[in-house]
Amino acid sequence: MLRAVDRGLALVCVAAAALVLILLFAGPSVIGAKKTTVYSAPSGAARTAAGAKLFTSSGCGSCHTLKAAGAGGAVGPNLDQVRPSASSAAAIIRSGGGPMPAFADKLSDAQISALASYVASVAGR
Amino acid sequence: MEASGQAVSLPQRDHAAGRLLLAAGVGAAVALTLGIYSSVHDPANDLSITLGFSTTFTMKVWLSTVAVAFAVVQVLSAVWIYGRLPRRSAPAWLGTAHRISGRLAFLVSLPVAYHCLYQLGFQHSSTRVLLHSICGCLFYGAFAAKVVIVRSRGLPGLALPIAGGLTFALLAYTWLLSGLWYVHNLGFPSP
Repeated sequence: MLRAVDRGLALVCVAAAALVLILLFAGPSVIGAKKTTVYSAPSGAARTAAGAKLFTSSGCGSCHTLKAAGAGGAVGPNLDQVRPSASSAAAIIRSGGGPMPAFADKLSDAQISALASYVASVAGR
Repeated sequence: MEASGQAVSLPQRDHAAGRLLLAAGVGAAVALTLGIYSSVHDPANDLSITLGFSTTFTMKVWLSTVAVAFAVVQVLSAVWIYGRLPRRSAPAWLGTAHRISGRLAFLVSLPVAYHCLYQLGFQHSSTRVLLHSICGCLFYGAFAAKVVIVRSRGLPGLALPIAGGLTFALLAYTWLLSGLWYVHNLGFPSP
């Protein structure tokens, strides 16, 4: 019984690894998904200190839901539910959180502060 | 007698060295391929997978934790198989259970790796994130090397425990830098 499970799992592992490789190299378009780039923040918008614009330009809405920004991303935590404080939001924006990339090299301290304050002030409202 | 013994052992040693080099080469190729891919690929979100979890983050924290749990089972069962546990000898089914736990650990790690490689890419914005990216690539390299070693004959007895230990250490460290970090900072996400 265990050996049959083991043999079956071996095949599943090979198939799953092959599927991941196909998705990585051929892209999810092979199964009908449309490609959109996420983390290429426009350099012009990155210079603005406005948190709302930074939220949009930095691609935050691709992963997070924030009603005030009209964002409905479902990859990461729903910010309207989490309602982070400005300090915790700034820490995560700066250093990354779990799979979320850090933005310390993309945004200045002032921009991070503006973005965090914006999120803290509008989340859940 | 001694001379003939050397004549027999030298080809075997060459064979073993060749196998070990092959394993190291395969592992390095896999790790480098993933590292280069994630560096040159433009992160995209055209296939967000949640596998029934509320968010992709939640899925990744849970699956990576489950993968580490299976990896712990791998290590414990290996230690038992090698007779290093103060218990009776390993039961006959333990080898199969050991393999199953390894396959499951690999399987549940794949959605996590897919999201990291395709949607986030190789990140180096902080020491933690850089180490996570490096260890993640090295983990799959070590895993590939271990598979080659498992399927090879006549290797030194330490080759497999070292490869297995290295694979486990890389997986655990990758998880410490992401999954555990996430739980520590944001709490364990409800599925």
